[in-house]
Amino acid sequence: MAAAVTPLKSFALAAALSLAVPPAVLAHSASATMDPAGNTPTFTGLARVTCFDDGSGPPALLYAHVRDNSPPVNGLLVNLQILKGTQALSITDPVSGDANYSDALQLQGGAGVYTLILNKTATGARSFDIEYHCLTAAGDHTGTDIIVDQFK
Amino acid sequence: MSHRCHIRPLPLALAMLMTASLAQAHTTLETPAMSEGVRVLNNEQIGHACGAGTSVIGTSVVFPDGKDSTLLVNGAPYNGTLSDFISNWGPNIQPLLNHAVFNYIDEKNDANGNVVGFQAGGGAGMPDHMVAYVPFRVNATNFNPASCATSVKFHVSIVDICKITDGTHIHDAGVANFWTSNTLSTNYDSSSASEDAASLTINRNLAANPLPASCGGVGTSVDVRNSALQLNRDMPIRINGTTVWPQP
Repeated sequence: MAAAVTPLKSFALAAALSLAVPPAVLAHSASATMDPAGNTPTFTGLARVTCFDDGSGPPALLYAHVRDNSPPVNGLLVNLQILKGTQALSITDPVSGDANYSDALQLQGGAGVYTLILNKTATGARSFDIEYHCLTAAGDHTGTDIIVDQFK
Repeated sequence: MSHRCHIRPLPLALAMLMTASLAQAHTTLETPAMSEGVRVLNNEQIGHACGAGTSVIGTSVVFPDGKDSTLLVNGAPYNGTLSDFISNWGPNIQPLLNHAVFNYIDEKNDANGNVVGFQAGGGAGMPDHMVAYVPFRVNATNFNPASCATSVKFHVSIVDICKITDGTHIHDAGVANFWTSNTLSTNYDSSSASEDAASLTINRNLAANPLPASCGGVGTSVDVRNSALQLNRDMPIRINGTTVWPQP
């Protein structure tokens, strides 16, 4: 029995017509909207960042900062926390909607897996950018990878 | 003169033997084993198409996501989670943009945007007598320091597509090659009597991450396979939300 075969060119055509869809997480930066429906005060992003020596040198710390891109809303701010082992740091972007990132966090945890948490202080959608980089003691960029475990 | 008569057929015989040998090659990973904590450039190594006159026009590769994957420890079923052994599996792969073999390549993503595999296709494809590489990167993977695991082997499910059909015909002759497990009870299972999935083994760096004393100096090996649920979800090739293989 003959198989239901589509001409080879169909695959090529479909591929050619496809448009690039940006992933939720890009290399060492991410952009997204927390609580897009604006009804989840507990909305939290949870990720793991792995710092490793990619040949640039052993990692000494994870550097990260966040920028809230949404218009200001009273009492609604975006927070960023980093945890590793028995250490933790947190920061808030104090001004929403401007061009400035929050102050940067620098957790001195060496190589390994860092937990990164992003949340907000109240109900409401928040569009944000986050940047994260594993750095050597000399401040050079070194191996950095991320896994997103939760965004809800 | 008599030497010529005997020598001339030899290269031809060798060439035929080599061709026959290559035609049996599975699709595997160029680098099937790597150490903990390092990033490695790798390739899906497509060994052949679907018979003489055919070409591989697409490929779909799915790594176990570690969420509902099937685990074995020293060959025995294990009911815990992958995080008992690996502290940062996403999976840790990233396809690399390259149009040498296929016009199109892209990630397969889970709901959080993590890469669980990749898919490629389009163009003239790879003829049956050739070998092709589809590049990707394996990110640094770390062992859980509290575990006794010394190696974790991920069984990677791959389908090489020679003709696009609907799901009822993907196992027809000359349509596709299934480098997958044969025990998952999915439409993508290998029909072979043996395990045909490719594999990627991560070996623990015992110098940097020694076994805890509770292991008694004895390490364990872990096998990780896709769940049927994940394979059914992630093996189809979808482009902008439209399934192009298998055809609906």
